[in-house]
Amino acid sequence: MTSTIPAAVAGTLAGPPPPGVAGTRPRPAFATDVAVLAERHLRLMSRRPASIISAIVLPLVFALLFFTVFSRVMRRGGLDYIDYLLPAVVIQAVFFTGMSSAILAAEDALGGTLRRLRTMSVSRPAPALGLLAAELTRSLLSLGVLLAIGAALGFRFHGGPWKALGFPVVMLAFAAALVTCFIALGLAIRRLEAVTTATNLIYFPFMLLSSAFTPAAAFPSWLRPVVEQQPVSRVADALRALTAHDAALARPLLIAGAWLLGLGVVGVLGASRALGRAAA
Amino acid sequence: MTAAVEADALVKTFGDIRALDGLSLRVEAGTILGLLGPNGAGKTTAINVLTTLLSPDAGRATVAGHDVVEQPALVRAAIGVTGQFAALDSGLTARENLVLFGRLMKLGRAEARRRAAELLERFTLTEAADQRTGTLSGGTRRRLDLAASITREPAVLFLDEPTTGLDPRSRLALWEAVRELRASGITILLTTQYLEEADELADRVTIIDRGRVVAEGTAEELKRRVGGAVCHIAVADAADRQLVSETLGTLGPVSVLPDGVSLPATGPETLVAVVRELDEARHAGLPIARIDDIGLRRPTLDDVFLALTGHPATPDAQADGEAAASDEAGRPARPTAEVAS
Repeated sequence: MTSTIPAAVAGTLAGPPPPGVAGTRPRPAFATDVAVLAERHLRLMSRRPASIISAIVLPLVFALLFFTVFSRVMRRGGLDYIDYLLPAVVIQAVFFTGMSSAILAAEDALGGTLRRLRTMSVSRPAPALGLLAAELTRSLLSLGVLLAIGAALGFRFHGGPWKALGFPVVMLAFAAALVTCFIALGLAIRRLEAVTTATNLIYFPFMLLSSAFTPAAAFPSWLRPVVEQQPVSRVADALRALTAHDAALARPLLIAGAWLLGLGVVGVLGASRALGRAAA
Repeated sequence: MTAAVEADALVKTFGDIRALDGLSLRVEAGTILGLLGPNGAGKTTAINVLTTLLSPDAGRATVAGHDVVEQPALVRAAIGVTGQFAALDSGLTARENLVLFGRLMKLGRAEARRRAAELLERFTLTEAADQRTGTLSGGTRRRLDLAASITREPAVLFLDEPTTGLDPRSRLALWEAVRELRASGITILLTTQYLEEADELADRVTIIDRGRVVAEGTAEELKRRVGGAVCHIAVADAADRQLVSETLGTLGPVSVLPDGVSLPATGPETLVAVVRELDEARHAGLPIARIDDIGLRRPTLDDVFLALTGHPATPDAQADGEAAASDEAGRPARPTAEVAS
């Protein structure tokens, strides 16, 4: 009863070979799977007003609002605020990207998509990596929009073309680490309101209690060490070093790199664990 | 014949619950097996093990000749799965969903598009082709889901409660689609709570309860096991059903079903005895039950299930007033007084 059917016989199990595409069997192909699933997410995002708003409109609105509210005060303090502000709104846009990824990941887990993919010849990490690729593409779009408005308001890369090229690289590294963590969060929580609450609880303290929008000197002295050391501030430091004319580069890049590496490891471990559970 | 699916003594526990408790089943190549059982019987767990989503704690299973634990990739390459909830992207059109599945099944872009067009035609989805899937009716979505799962014609197709929640017309359309798939040589394992569905579609039926097989055979064989005719008294109200079952208790073993009361019949004389008994109760001044219909009929799979497990197939339908609700949910009405000739 339980003897294994030889592979040669197994091929004939479906009866007469069905016409057309049926003869061969699909195999997982990592790159194709990731690309196809990334395309899926990008197409879905492009049709979702909430995605377009949080990728394009919100970063723009925040950039203009902060610029309008703070630039004169800051100039009086001797700071060219648009140069200071741009890395902050880029980081903020990456957070918006991360929040989107958490929700999309949770939706795929809830709607049965992950389970369905798991029963198909699709490579295991492809659903998460496809979403990551789509979100990184989206964050590049946000960056483009912010650089355009920034340029209009007077933002310049003062450190030359090589440093300017480093700017999107650091942003993408931050986005990759953060999105991976947020995908893990979305897959693990799997309830949409709870996902929104959790991502907000990460976003607000990390974004506001950082040197992203205002220099650390603006915070009370007991809070200043935390504000200066936390990862969002460290990424902001690295981005600013890449826009400045003569800032020291190695130290801020190394510190930010260490944070992002740590964050990335946590994200990858969490996401692979959560992906296995969400699909079961 | 060769088995396309063979499960041997599968065990799967979740905490204290033995979802599969030594389940064995076999689906011959090119046939449809109906896996039948109430909610919580272990149907979905069985599908999850056979489709490589879960590993069994004990036992073994092969699908299309491949061991589900040792060769999951080969199993996945040979199967299609349609779940209770259509896992389609509501933001994509029907065509885009099919192209997506084609691409994930490693068809090239052009080939995936060609195959999508072919499937839309075959499953009468051409009208819905370029509409967002979210705007389609439940029945159309399920047909699309079915089409997606055979994008790359599988050797074995798993249909997990494919018509749950559908209206009768959509259900008939889906049944038709399933029959066509079988005709094209695909082996199908179908789970359902609806006994009529298994009766309509399945070549053989395996009835499971609490993770074990309680009966196996063709629908006809199983009905024969229950015996000859059944006298069925259709009673809508639950309290009235209780009343009727007490009144008729002297005539034999009475079963309370979701839609009435039944007892084994030897022939027309049982009918006469039932009517006499009910009439005498009325004359004796006992409370009167509202009876919708009385008749003799051949046993249905409902009767089989009840006889084999001691409880009805749809326990939730026993609650009062559920009859109307379950009709809305799309269970086709069953003739209640089909007299056996």
